[in-house]
Amino acid sequence: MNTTTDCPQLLDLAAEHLAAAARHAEANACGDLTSPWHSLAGQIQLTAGGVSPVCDDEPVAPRPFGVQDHLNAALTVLDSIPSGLGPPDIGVWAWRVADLRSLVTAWAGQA
Amino acid sequence: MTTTTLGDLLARADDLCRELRDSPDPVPLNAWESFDATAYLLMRELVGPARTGSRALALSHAALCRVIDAYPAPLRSASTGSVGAREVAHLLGRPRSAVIANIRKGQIPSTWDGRRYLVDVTNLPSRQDVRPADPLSPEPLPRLSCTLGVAADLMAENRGQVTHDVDAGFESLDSATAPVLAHVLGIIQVAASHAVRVGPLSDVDRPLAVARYSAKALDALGDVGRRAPMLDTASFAPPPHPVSLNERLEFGLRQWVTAARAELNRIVPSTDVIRNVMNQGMHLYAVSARLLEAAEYEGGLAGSTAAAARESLHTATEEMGKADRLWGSVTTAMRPSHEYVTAARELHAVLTDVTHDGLHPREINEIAKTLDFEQALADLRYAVRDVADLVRDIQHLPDPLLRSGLLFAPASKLTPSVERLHDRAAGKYASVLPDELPELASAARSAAIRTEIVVRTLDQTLSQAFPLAIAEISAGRVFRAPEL
Repeated sequence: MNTTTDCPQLLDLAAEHLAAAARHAEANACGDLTSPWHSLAGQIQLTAGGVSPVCDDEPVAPRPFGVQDHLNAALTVLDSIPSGLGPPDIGVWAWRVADLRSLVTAWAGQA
Repeated sequence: MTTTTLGDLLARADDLCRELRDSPDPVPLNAWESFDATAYLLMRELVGPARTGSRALALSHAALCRVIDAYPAPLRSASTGSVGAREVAHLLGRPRSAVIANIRKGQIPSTWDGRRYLVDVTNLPSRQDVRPADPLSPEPLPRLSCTLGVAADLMAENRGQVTHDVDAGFESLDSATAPVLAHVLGIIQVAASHAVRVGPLSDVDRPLAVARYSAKALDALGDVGRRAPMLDTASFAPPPHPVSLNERLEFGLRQWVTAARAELNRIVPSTDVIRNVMNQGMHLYAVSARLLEAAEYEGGLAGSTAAAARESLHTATEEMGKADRLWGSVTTAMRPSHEYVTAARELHAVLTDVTHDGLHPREINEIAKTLDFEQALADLRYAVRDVADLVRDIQHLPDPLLRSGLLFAPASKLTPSVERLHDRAAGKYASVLPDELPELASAARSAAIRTEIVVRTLDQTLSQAFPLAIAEISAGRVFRAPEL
C-alpha cells in the first residue's frame, strides 16, 4: 500500500511509473525503431515529463501488461492526490495518462 | 496540400508577367497603384529593417537599403511596424533633417531607442485610397499584385525563420536576399514597362518613374547569382478542420512543428520535449521510408534512388535514437507545455494511422486506399526539413546547458564527491558537470549531420519522382488580399 501523502512525492511517483511504462513500451518494440511501441514510448515519456520532470534510463525486461500496469498505477497515484493539493493542471495530465492507457488497452485487444 | 514557397510565388509572378506582356488592355491607375504599393512592400519585407552589428554586416545591408531608398516616393508603407527617420523621410518625400526637426518638435510621434528615432508607421500620413488589388479580378496585373502581396505576407510571417536558416547555413543574409530582390525588380520592370506601353498616356508618369528606377536598381545590384535559399521559404495553410488522412497528416505535422519550435525557443527547454522531438523525428522517418517503399511499389520511384533515401533515413534514425537515450539520462526539470503535448499526441496518432492499424502494419494497397502517396510525401518532405532544423537547434543546447549547471541527474548516478554526499544520501538530483557527459554533444552533432543528409537525399529522390507536384499545387492556392 502506498503511504506517501506529500503531493510532490506523489507526482514523482506517478512520473516514475510513467517512465517505467515508457521503458516497457520501448522494450516491447524489441529494438525496432519503426514499431508503434517505440513511438508510444516517446509519448508516455513526454507525459511523464509533464507530471514531474524525472530522468531514469534504466533498461527493463519486457513483460506482458508491463505498460498497462504502470499506466494504471500512475493514474491511481494521480487520482489519489486530493483536489486542491496538486498542481492546477493535474486533471489534464491524468486525462492524458488515461488517453494513453485506452490506446494501450486497444492494442492489447489486437495482440 | 496547402503549401507554397517564395520560389513558387515568384514562378507564378513570372507566368503572370508573360500573360501581362501579351495583354493589349490599358492599365487603370488604381490597378497600377495597387501593384506599385504592393511591390514596394514586398521589397521592404525582403530587405528587412536596418541592421547593426559588425561593420561588414551593416555595410552589406546598407547596399540593399540604398536600392530600396531610391524607390520613387512610395505610395504606402507597411501597415504596421516601426521605421527610422531616414525611412520616414523617404516615405514622406522630405529631407531627413526636416523629419528630425518635426520629431524633435513632437509633430511626429516617435521613440528613442538609444541610437535612433523610431516612428510607428501608423502615425504617418498615407494615401488611404490605394487599396489592395482585387484577388478575384481576371486581369493579370491585379493577380500579379495579389501574388506579390502573398509573397510579402510570407516574408513578414517567416522573417525570423528565414534569418535563422540563412545564418545557420553560414551565408550572409544580404547575399541570399540580393538574387530574390533582383527577381522582384525584374517583375516590377516588366509591369512598369507594360503600363507605360499600353497607357493611358495621362497615367504613365508614375509607371515611367518606377520603370526607370527598377532598371537602375537592377544595374546597382550587379551580378547577384541565381539561386537563393530564401526561395525555399514556405508558407503553410493546413486545413482548419481536417477530415481525410492526408489532411490530418498535414495538419498534425504543422501543429507539431510550430509547437516544437516554440518549445525549443524557451530559455531553458524541457529535455522531455527534446527527447520527444527525436522520437517524433524517428517515427516520421519510419513513415517516410514506408511511403517511399509504397511509391516504389506503385512505380512512382526508381528502386535505386528509393533505396538510397531509405538507407539515409535508417542511419539518421539510429543517430537520433542514440541522442534520445543520452538526453534521457539528464533533465532540465522543465515541464513540456500542454500545447506541445497535445500536438505531439495528435501527430503520433496520425503517423501511426498512416502505416498501421493499431499494432498491425498495413499492406501497401491498404495504405493506398486511404492516402494519396504523392501528397503525403510532399508534406513529409517539408516536415523532414523541419526536423533537421529542430535537431540542428538541439545540437547547440548541451554545451550552454551543461556550463550553466542546468542539466540535472540523480546524484547517485553521478561521480561521487563531497558536495554530492548529501544529495546522494537523500536521493536528490544534482547538476551534471560539463566533463561528465561529453558524449551528449557529439551525439547531438551526429544526429544533426545525419538529419541534414536525409533532407538532401529525400529532396533529390522526390524531385526526380514528382518534379512538378509542388509548383502545380501551389498554383491552385487561394490568394488573399495583401495587407498593404
